[in-house]
Amino acid sequence: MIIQTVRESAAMVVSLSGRLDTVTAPDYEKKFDELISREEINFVVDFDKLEYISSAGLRVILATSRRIKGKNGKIHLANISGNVKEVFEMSGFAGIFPVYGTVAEALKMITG
Amino acid sequence: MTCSLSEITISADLEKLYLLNGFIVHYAEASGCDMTGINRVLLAVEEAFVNICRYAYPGHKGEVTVSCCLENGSLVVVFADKGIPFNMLSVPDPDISIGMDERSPGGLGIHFIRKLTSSVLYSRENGSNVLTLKFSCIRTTE
Repeated sequence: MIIQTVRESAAMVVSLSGRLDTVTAPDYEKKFDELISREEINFVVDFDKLEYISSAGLRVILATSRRIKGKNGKIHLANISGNVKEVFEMSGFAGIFPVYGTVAEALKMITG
Repeated sequence: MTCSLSEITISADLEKLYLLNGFIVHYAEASGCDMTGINRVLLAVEEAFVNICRYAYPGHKGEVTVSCCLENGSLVVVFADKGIPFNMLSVPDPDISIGMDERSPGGLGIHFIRKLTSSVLYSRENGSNVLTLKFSCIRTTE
């Protein structure tokens, strides 16, 4: 999995590509630990290039989101489709997180 | 059930996931799965494998043998380990309707396995846990 970050004025945009699974989930957690320790509190996670996610991936997304929420931050998810969307629906995560069609939309809702 | 077209024996170690994936992909393709179908198979396989890695051999290392075969167009994947008796199908499904704060992280893996397979069976045979997952890739598009 490749994790790219771009600093937008409203939030840090974190783009995932590849597979978020048991092997790579710790990388996700590590990246967010690092960003949170730099006082970032608002995030948009772009799933456009993520091909696959397992329960290990959902677990780190949940844990990280709780930490962000605990700091009164926001985390919005964007571009969830295909297998990843199916997993979000099967797990009920689609109803837990604010999910947007595009990064621009997700950013707008953070500012809003 | 005999399912001996091909098998792989690996240590029950999370780091072996991609080795297992590589083995499974070949048979998932042969059973007619497209990319979406392959990822569904890999998801159920990952969740089963992770459960074995976490629970089968507490405190020590062990192995798991995974075998694949095609049966009437369905892909059958059988996991066999010599760990402590553990029926992951006895784990109740999580409540997927509750919010972020109340969510407990457990139980999702087996929930996915149930959702993604056409059948799933557990048996204890000659000192081994045997978990049999069956997939039919015909209905990959909904």
